[in-house]
Amino acid sequence: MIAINLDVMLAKRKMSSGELAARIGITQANLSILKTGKARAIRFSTLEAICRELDCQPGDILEFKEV
Amino acid sequence: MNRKISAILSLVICILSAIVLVIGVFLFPKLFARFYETYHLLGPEFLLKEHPAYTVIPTFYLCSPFAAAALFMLIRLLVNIIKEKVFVRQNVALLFGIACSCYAVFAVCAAAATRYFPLVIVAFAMGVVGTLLLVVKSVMRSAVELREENDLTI
Repeated sequence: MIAINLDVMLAKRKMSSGELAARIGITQANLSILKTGKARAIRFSTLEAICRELDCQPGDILEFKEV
Repeated sequence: MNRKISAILSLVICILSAIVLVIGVFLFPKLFARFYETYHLLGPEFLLKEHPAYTVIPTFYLCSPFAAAALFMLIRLLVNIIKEKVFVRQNVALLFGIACSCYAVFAVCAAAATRYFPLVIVAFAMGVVGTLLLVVKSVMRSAVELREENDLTI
């Protein structure tokens, strides 16, 4: 499975989940779905917005885990 | 949107009328028999066991619970659609329930057709409707899975 590790980058940038959600234009509930790994897919536009706001690369937040 | 709701409400009213009719005939069999007698001029032939009424009326009463169940499930399905809950798992289950009711009526009418052959037409129609509903149920289940995947695409 592909895991999205937002907590580390949020801590590095000293940003809260709510603030990130508001900046990238999604609800906190959807951001929570991303963080908890319940999302089935992520749009490139959402990934682009996350990387832009957190000033990081997709590889910094995406991780492949064997299930 | 108003036209859609009024169309669905008209369907709900028709189905409620059908439910009232089915329950009424079930609860007041003498009235039903009198109606049958009046419009089919039952006479001494009724005493003959070969008369169709001995097959048609019991078949109708056996099918009534399944018909009432199907109509209730149809109303719930329409109410869900009015509430804009179209592609939900509950609707898939309701469609399956209606299909099962159709197959139950098919079985009863097919058995009764051995005594009164024209009932085979009703049996065939119910079999076709049940099969169509199973296909619609499969399509709806795929739609539910697509919707859930879309909802979980951030």
